Amino acid sequence: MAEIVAQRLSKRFEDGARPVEALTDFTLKVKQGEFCCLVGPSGCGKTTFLRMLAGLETPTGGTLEVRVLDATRPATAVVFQETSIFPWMSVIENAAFGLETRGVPKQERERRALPMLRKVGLGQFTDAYPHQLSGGMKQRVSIARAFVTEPQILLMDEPFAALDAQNRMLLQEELVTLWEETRTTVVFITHSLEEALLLGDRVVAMTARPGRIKQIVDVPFARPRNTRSVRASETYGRLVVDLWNILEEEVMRARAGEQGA
Amino acid sequence: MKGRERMLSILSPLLLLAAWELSVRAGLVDRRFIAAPSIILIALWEMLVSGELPRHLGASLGRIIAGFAIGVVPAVLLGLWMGLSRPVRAVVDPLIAAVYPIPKIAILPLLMVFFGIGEWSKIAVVAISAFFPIVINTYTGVATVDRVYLDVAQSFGASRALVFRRVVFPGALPVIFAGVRLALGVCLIVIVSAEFVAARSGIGFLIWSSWEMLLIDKMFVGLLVIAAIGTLMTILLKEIQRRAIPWQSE
Repeated sequence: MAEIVAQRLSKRFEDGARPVEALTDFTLKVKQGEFCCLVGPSGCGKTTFLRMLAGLETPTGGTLEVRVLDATRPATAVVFQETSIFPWMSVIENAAFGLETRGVPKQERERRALPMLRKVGLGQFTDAYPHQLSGGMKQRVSIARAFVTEPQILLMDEPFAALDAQNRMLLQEELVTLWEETRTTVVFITHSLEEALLLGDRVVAMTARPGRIKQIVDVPFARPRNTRSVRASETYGRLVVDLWNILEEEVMRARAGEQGA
Repeated sequence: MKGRERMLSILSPLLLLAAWELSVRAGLVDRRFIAAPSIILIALWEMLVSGELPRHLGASLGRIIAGFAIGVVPAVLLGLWMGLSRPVRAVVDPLIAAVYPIPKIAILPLLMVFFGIGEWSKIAVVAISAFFPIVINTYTGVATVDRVYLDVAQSFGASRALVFRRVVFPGALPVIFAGVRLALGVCLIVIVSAEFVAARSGIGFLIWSSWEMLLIDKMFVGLLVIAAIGTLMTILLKEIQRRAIPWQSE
């Protein structure tokens, strides 16, 4: 059991002369087992929210509760946007790193990491180093590393943003399959409206900075979900446009803000 | 490298040697100042057999190895400490910035006051020369470990010890190694210079004393040996680096 409750959450960065209000009056509840996607213009504070959930930033206002019931499993695990697997560790060491931080002995953690690597199609590459892998494979290692620890909440920060279109589709399909086996609570950040609708149960659309929630869209597609038939459906196309209608104004505002700054 | 290119890169030094040999024999250059390769090789052989060259080589290598070993450990430790602690960096950084630009050979007289004119002053100057590039690279390496790796470790709740052992140190290792390579080059320069002025043995002494007595062939042997030491050290270090940092692509 794990859920997230954010109430009137805000975050201000006091960096330099001009403080930046990254997130303001942000109230959101993510339910147990929900796949929740956050979309919004760049700089809207979605990454900040995720980093607060991961314990990498502290809120400056409001409350953020991460309610977890199972003390034996880690509360959160993060899949970062950029290549974040360690270049100095082999694939299996990378995938097992979360277990290493929990003091799991080497043999045991590799025994647990191996099936996960097989699931993401890297069973043959356990001893390779990251520089020998393609971008898509690196991100698969990153996903495996997060899943191996069996976190109660999975935090994903634009994990597929750096991939080419076809690789992205592949990884999206794989993620849906992988996730439907575990039904972990997920907070997934993306700038792609299509991706948000394809993967999520709910899509949270955010305003330009300072970020707050503009609208929450419920995604009607059933689980288990076949991403291809979703893509082919009429509803999907309409929802993408609906979502764009909601967000366009914010994206323009964010752009004006950037130009003004 | 392709076969043809490899041929060319073997051929070019051979051609140079041949041109050198011929121009000395033909009297195009002054034999009193430039020895022909064949003469140098003969001198090399004679000095090897007589034990003269092994004695000088041993003296120089001994000083480099001892000095390097003494310099590298505190350099890495201090560099790591500086990289991990801002106050330590604030204290030590200006001191390093002030001392680093001094050519280390310039403090040899001072070191001879402390350590006497024997081996220890030479070992000390090598140690100090090795120390600076390594300490600077070590803390730069630690300070420039990509933020995202620290975020990953922190997000998994890694202990400080684990972060250091599994993230910070390996992340800094390539830069530390670059410092070690730099330091070895500097040490070679410094030991030869020190032996010019303040030693009765070593390759530097061999070169200088041969020049003073106009034993040009022996002087060239000294140069040849220095070049060989430098090359061998580079090869050796690359091999060590390949094994110590297997994740680095060429």
